Amino acid sequence: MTASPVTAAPVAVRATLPRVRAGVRRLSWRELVGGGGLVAFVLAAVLAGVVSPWSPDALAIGSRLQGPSTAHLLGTDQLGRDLLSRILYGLRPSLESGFAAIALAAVVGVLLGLPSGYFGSVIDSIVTRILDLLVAWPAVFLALAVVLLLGTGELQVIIAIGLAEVPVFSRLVRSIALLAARSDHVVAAKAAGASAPRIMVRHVLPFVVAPLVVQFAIAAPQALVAEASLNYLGLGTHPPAPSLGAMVSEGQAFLAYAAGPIVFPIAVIVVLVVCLTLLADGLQDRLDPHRGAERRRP
Amino acid sequence: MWRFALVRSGQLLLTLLLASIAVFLVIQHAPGDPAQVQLGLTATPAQIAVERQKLGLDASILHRYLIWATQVLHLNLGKSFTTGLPVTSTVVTAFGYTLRLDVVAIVLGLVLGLPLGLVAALRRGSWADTAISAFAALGLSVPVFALGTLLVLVFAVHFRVMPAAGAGVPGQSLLSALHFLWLPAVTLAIPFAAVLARYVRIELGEAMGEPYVLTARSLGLPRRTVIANAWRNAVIPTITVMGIQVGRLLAGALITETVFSYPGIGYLTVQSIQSLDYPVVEGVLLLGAAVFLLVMFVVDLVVGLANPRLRVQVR
Repeated sequence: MTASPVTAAPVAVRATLPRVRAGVRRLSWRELVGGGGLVAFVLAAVLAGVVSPWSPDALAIGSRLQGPSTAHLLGTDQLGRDLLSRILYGLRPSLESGFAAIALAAVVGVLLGLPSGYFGSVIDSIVTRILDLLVAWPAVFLALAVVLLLGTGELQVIIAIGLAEVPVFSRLVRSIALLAARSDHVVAAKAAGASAPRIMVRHVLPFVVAPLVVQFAIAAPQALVAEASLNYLGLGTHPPAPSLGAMVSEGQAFLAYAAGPIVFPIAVIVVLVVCLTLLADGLQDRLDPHRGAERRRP
Repeated sequence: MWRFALVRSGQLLLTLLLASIAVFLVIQHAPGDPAQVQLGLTATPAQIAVERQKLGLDASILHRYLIWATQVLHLNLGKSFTTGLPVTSTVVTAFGYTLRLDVVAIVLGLVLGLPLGLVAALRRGSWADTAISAFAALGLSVPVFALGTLLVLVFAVHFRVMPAAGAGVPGQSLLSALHFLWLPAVTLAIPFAAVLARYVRIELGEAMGEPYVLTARSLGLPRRTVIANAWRNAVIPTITVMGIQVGRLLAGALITETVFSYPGIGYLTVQSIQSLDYPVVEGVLLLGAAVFLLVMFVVDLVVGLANPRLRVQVR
């Protein structure tokens, strides 16, 4: 045991604060399947330029709305564009926006929640009121307000989803900072004359990391669904840039002629979301001892 | 309880006020000059200046907010840019459609979700439990728009038993109105039922493991009575979750109504934003926030009635 701030924390705090369990456990099937799936999707998106058999925007009016064939493995859409290629390229905005949005929410959440929990009183009240206003609306309304102010686009989608997730992250960080701020090692650091920002970063933030990772994983599938939904509503990427949500809304008008243009993108979204959910469940079991115990109870 | 209700009403009014300020600010900063919009492209700068004064756009922002808020309180939100109809009646008509859809969706969700949760909780570890949990997980993973389009594909395009879009004609019989409601209502009900089933399963399952249930069992009370006792404790968190889900139906309605071109408040919202019809946007955002906050308020009161301990949590 070294004298790092985390291990120096008193037993009482260790019992109350969530933490990374000592030792490395083997990967659970959830983590394996979910993580493996996620890696596959990320690879597919990154390598879209190499793997795609066609350009995602290559029109071929002669071969519109075709079923799967050797030339077009998943068939073509209403403009004769190759569905497989469009799905591969369409994964990019989904993954990028989804993760960027949560990263944004996590950063803002820490910036708001840490001082809010550490200082309490006035700062806490102000931050809580602001966040109450954010959760007073369904997330979609928030997204619409962002689009109204900033127009449609990928960046706007990131801001909209991130904004909706900020309260969750901030409250989480606040609740842990509140506990940690009263623990002996923080009092000791204060007595030793450490500045408030230093204490927050060195002596409080470490406790926040594990729960933050879990929350990140929980928010990921939600953010992905939100991204696809906003694109479905036509508030995200601009055509002809492919995105999974927009592909479904474009294909809907031609449902009577071909099911492929909506079925394949939907299947990809669902599988991706299921993978992320499994991964989140696995990580939660690994990093949150309380929940793990609950789950093991018969 | 009265104190709790009073404090909670105060909070409701405060949040409503803040929400109205937020809507006002968003509309104020939205691109486009209302005076220019009123007069058209041919207006001279002098005419625009006069119009700005007439519309009160040159006053201070607080002054403008007060004027605007007075108008809102008198239910006067102006006329739609696209249809020329008063915003208030447009929004109210659309809300009627949404209400109808939501009621059917909630009933379907309850009828589907509660029994599934009960069965899963009482037969933990059985194949039925596994199947129900899988259904719930899938119901939460499939985005609403995907579920909606898949239902259209199966029931409207393939089997041709349901209409794919719209709400029928005004003044139709209840039965034909319902015909248009089934698909969107099921789309909304499935995630609702999934959440409900999950919560009932967890809460009732936990309650069934409590010592008092063990006592009741060992006393030889009939199974029905034992379950009824555990149910009372399981139902409170379930009510909270249900309330939150009812609030979320509003958000779900936005996407579902777009999928089915159903003329409710959600479809109106998306349409008005895409056509930059600001008066209507204002109307739907205000109504949406008010309804959502009211639902949350009612949920808190019901939970407070059901469980006195939670009343203390007034901050």
